[in-house]
Amino acid sequence: MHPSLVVARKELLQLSRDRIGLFAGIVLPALLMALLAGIVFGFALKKPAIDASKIVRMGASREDYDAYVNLAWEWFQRHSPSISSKEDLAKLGERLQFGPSHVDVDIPLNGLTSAQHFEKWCKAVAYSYRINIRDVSYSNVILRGSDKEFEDLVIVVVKGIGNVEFVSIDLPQETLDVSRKVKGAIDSSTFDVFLETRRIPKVQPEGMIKYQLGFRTFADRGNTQSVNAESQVKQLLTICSNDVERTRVFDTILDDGIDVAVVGSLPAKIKVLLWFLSVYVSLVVYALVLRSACEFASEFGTTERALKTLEPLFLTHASRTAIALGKYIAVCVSVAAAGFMMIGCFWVTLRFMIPYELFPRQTLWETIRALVLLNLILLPIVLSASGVALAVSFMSSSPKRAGAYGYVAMWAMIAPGFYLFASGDQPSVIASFVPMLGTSLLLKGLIQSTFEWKCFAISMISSLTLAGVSVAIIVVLSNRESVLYSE
Amino acid sequence: MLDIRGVGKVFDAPGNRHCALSDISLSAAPGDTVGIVGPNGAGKTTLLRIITTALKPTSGSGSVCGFDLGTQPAMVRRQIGYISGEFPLYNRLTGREYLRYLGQLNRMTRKHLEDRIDELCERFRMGEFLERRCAGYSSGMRQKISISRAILQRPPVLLLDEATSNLDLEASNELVGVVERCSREGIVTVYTSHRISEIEKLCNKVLLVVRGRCLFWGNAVDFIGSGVETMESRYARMIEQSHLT
Repeated sequence: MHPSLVVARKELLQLSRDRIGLFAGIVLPALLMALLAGIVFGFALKKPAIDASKIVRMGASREDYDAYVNLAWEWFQRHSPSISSKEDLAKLGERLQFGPSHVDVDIPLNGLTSAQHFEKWCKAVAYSYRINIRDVSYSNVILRGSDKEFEDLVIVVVKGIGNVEFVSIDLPQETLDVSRKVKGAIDSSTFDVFLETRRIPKVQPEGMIKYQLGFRTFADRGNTQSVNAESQVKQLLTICSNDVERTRVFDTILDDGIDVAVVGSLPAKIKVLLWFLSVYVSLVVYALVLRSACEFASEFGTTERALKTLEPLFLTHASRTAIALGKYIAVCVSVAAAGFMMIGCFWVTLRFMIPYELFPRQTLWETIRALVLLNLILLPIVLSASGVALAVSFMSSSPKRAGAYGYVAMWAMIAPGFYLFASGDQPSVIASFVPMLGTSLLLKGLIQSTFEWKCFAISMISSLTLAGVSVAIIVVLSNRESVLYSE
Repeated sequence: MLDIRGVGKVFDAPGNRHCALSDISLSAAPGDTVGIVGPNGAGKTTLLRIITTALKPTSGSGSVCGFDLGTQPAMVRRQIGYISGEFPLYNRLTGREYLRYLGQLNRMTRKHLEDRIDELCERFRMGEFLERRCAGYSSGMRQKISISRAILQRPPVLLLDEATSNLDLEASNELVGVVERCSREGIVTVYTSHRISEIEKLCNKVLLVVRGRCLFWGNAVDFIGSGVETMESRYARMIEQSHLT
């Protein structure tokens, strides 16, 4: 057997006999992580995130509906006097609410721009109803993509929560005037909703103006980009200034009828959780993996030197390079075991805790595939972290110092991952060249279904390069006198 | 068999440059037992570490069994067994596993290795503890395992660095017995110790090192001289004289 493998086997044999250390170093962190994730997600999402029946079959109460009608009536009296009577509006509402020959799916993706699989699921629901011979209207607050597929007028009623307020943006005076009017209407209502009209240029067949009308929640207002708010206000301004005629706005509804969908605050919550999940996996798992790497590397390097067992080892016939590589293999295997166990526990917990809408139900094979992919992504991190940690261990004069330097190295490695806190970051070619960042974004992509194989390849290469450099450093260090007798 | 010529060693750490050894020479033929004596910090351990190739000499050269220290370190290590006074072991391995581990790294075949371990087990009466983990070993047990490790491959050169310093009288005597037996078997033994009586008893050659410099190198009988002095009193007098100069 090659000396490196002999060394690695012995290190792992020793480690396997340290049951308390093994439990504290690998099993406990993995279980705690899984438990924490389970608690967070379990409490946050006790119920399924989105109930299909709620999306398709209206959930607004009669009270809400009446309030909506009153508010809308007041607003249209002021700004669109072409609506002839309140009864017209009530009729409209009646058909919307209680005679759903048509279905409106209000895509509950308030800001969930990256949850593509989730969006797909929602669309699948919409399509399924279309197959069942129901006209489907589909609205999306963001309109990304949806306006390419659906062209109906859409009305969305959302039970509002929180304060409704325009973000302070630099707008023309007339725009602000409009926003104040709207806000006045809102303030006078018994619930916080906001009437929003918007022009959808892409669905203007032959000069006809169609509008998307809707009440929308501002639960996610804090995250709304100012530019979005500005565009919304501008759209309001446009509709007001044009004084759109009744037929232009309501013909479709009155003729065809439409359902109204209700969504709550869950989308915003899911968005936060998805963000939390990606950051949690990328940073917390990394932190624990790197910490494990430091511990194992210290055990196999500095501690052995402190116990003076390194000297007899280096006086055997095996070369120092072979011994160092053996120790590197042992650290890699230990850290991989720790990392895989952590991520495995974590993933399994998520499978049971998170509603299937967020993570589509998987077969056993799909679950195994996901785990393998996760671990494959983690592998270069394990290799590079083990190399850096062992290099730190060889450079340090005592286990205590190895621990201290290990923390510094750990944070230095993890630092690029903090870019994850920035919103909207996705896997990119440039980011993939930064070892930890590229892999973090990949993990995030895997969680949010924006995974890209091109970035995967680059991240692998960059992380493996880091691992290679660290192994070269280990070999150089192991051949220096100071590795044995550094005081 | 062992030939060291004008070896010097300078440790050049930042802010801490010091000369540990300067122009040290010694040689030994099969069966010779060389005693290296000197006060703490004299450079005895540094010299042994140079012979083991763990440290590279700053100046001078040397060879073990014809293999050059500088250019053939791996071959040199194959000729050497080394025992320090601390008997470091892996606490979570058994004595047998420890010996097996180092034997495997020395490329011994499995059967040869197991036979040799059994032989050493019998020779040093290690049967009752060899299968236990080293964590519970006494100093005497650790010493036996360390000696077994050093001579596992029957090296032609055995280096002992203050190997009796942490041992009681009985264990020390056992180690001395091992050295005597090695000498009879034609093994070159290099032995450092503060116990001059052991040196006097075991060694036919003596190297006296003080502050990295050689004060005496030659036969043990020449060290004592023709007078009535013991080796211990002679040693003390030479050390005292070196302080005066």
